[in-house]
Amino acid sequence: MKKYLTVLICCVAIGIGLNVHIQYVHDHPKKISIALTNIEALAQGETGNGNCRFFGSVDCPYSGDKVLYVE
Amino acid sequence: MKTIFSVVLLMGLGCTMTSCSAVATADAVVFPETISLHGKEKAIKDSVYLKYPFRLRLNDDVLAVIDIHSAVYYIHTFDYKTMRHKQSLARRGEAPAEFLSAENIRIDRHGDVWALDANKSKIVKLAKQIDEQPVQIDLDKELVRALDFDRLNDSVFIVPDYTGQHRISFVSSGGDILRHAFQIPSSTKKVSAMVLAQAWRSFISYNSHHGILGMATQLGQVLEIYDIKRERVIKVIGQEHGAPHFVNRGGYAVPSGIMGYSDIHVGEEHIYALFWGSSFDDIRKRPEHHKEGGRFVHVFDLKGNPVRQYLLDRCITGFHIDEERGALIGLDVNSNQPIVEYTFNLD
Repeated sequence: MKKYLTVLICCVAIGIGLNVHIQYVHDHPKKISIALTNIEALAQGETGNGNCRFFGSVDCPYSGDKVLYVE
Repeated sequence: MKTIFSVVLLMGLGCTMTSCSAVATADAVVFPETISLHGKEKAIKDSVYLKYPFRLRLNDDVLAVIDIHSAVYYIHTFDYKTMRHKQSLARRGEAPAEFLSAENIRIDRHGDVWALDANKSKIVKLAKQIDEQPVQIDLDKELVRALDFDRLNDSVFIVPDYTGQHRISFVSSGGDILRHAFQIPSSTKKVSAMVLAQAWRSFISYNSHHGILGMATQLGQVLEIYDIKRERVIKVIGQEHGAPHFVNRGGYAVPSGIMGYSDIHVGEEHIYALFWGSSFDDIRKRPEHHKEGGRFVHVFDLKGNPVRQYLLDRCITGFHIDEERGALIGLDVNSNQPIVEYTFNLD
């Protein structure tokens, strides 16, 4: 019985851990996004209109151009 | 032992349930039904290259399309029956009669085409004939980059801008601000009004028959419905879960959430809003695989209750809705033949 209880507690602990992790990712997407942004900025270099990339329909806040995304 | 067993099991179940409900409530709106629509391409007969068509209006048989990344002319008109090119308007350039951008077009009851040039801060009534002069309205200098426009009546425009002090301004035919109305429906208090206005950048549509104004956020999933005649808020849909996500970087709002709505139409009985739902994380990671546009058309009644959503077979950036005919004309920016017509049945 003790063995079953230990296994069950371990499963619940893993479940709680996963829940906390998912919740963190859900609530803090910006931190992850910023980290990715930094890596990509290093790889691509800066563009002329701040950090506005490609063409699209998003207003670049630095230049007013219509771009795909802003970093 | 059994009691401990049960308590541990209940705790585990409780944690799992909490996590599921958090994910389940992430959807800003739930629609009672989803209907798939298949489009029919309307091939342009002449060699007119549209790089990034974003807005279109149909008046009688004249279809006007804005290409926001055009090299020469921002606006092209076509005969909708034959799909023959009629005219190219709004030449790109710095000369007084030329344009530095084109945000939107409106066609008035006389068939005149009006366009907003945000970079020149002007609303222009375009000339129909070559020898005719366009009517240019210099917008009040208090407005910081007019983001969209619609006509309240023959002599007043509704204009949202980046000042962030008010949601919209009413502008006279002389370009002066007459008055302001409403506030950005954000609970964020820590950022400046201008940063908030950048994050809450919205597209508008006004129906003068019943006086309803719709505003749809580009960088979130919020749809605001205002009664302009009584100057009151009818409903803000998605205010909590659909608010735009952004990072304040040196006084500029850098979008970090989703591409939300890109066009809106307030009809006689329903409000239609074109929704993308693409996350900026995905776009940044794989821009070459990203398709511009949205496949969802959200339909609400005039009180803001969700009615249904249409799922399109391709991604479109802007649309024209003809409620009487049950037709939606969309712009597929990913195709060489971008004009697509859908038919729908509104019961």
